[in-house]
Amino acid sequence: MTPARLMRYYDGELPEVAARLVEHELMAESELRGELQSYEAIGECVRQWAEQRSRGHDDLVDDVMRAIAGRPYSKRVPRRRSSHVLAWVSLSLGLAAGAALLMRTLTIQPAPASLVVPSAEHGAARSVAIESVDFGARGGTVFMVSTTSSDTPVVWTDDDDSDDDQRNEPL
Amino acid sequence: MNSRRSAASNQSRELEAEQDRVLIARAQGGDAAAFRLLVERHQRRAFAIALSVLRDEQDAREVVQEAFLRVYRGLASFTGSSSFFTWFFRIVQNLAIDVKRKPARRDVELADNREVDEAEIPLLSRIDGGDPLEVIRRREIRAKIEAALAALPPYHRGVIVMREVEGLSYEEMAKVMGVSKGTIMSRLFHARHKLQRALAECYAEETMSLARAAEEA
Repeated sequence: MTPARLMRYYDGELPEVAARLVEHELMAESELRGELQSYEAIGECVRQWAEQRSRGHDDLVDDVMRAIAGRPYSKRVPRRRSSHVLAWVSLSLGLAAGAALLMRTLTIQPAPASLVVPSAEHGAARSVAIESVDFGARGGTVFMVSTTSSDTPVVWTDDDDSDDDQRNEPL
Repeated sequence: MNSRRSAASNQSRELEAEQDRVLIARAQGGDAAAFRLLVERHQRRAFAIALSVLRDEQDAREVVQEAFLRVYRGLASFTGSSSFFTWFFRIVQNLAIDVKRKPARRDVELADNREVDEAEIPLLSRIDGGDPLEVIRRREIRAKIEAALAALPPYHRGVIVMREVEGLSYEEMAKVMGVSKGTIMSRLFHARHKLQRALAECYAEETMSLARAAEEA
């Protein structure tokens, strides 16, 4: 019999039939019985060691309960990292979709030569006129964006790409 | 005989797991008394497992306390698909290994070096060792085994404590330690082999002293 088989027998890990066979062999071989007894002696020593070293530590429960007293149990399942990632991906997609929609709307309506901006109060009851727009050194365009309730002017300045050129220079 | 013991052990483990599930369900509902019961049921075993890795009682206490706090914080995520004790022992085991790996961890293990007084002699040797020589002999054997146990790598010590003290099956130990059943068997075999050698030395010494005594006579 292999030592591993005897060990599995001792640990109760053998199926019933195999265990019966081991018991037959044990009755016949004193050496095997000695091996088994040594397992039992070791087990007893390990149990005594654990028993003795654990003695006096039954008060752990008080420490634990004191520690959790200040932390009320939350019934919410802690969110996993993957759900955070999902939230960020959703947010990014939402922003990208919003930007695409905005761009599409802006390109549909060209800017008129003179703008009349309705106030927020009572539609066109009060309005202000934009005389001119100073874009400074940059170019730009003025659009009128129509919504269901009002028209909103949008001033679009061209990007200053000189910074980008500098960023692309090798360091 | 062993299979019967194993079957009985499995039955009591299933009962225990069921009781744990009930306590967890109550604790999930905010019942602090139920959580306290859960701690009371498992604190000793958890301590034995932490100690088997760390060998320092203070460190083991801290690890067990932290493990219970983690269980408390993670109660909502426990669905009961696995048994509580394999889940919990795994937390204890991992925390203990983390502490063991800390470079600043104190290596002084006072408890291992302390003198053993008479009151600490195991009950077994006090009961059946009426003969003082027998008591001394048993004490020596135990000291040898303990020294051999202390010399084992933490993984070997952990596996033999889980098996002999907690009665965990190979499958359960594999889950707790996150390794295969084969690895568990190998660790257990090597741990026992080393302890057997320590035990054999004791018996060899005893046999030699008996032979010497016979020669002198």
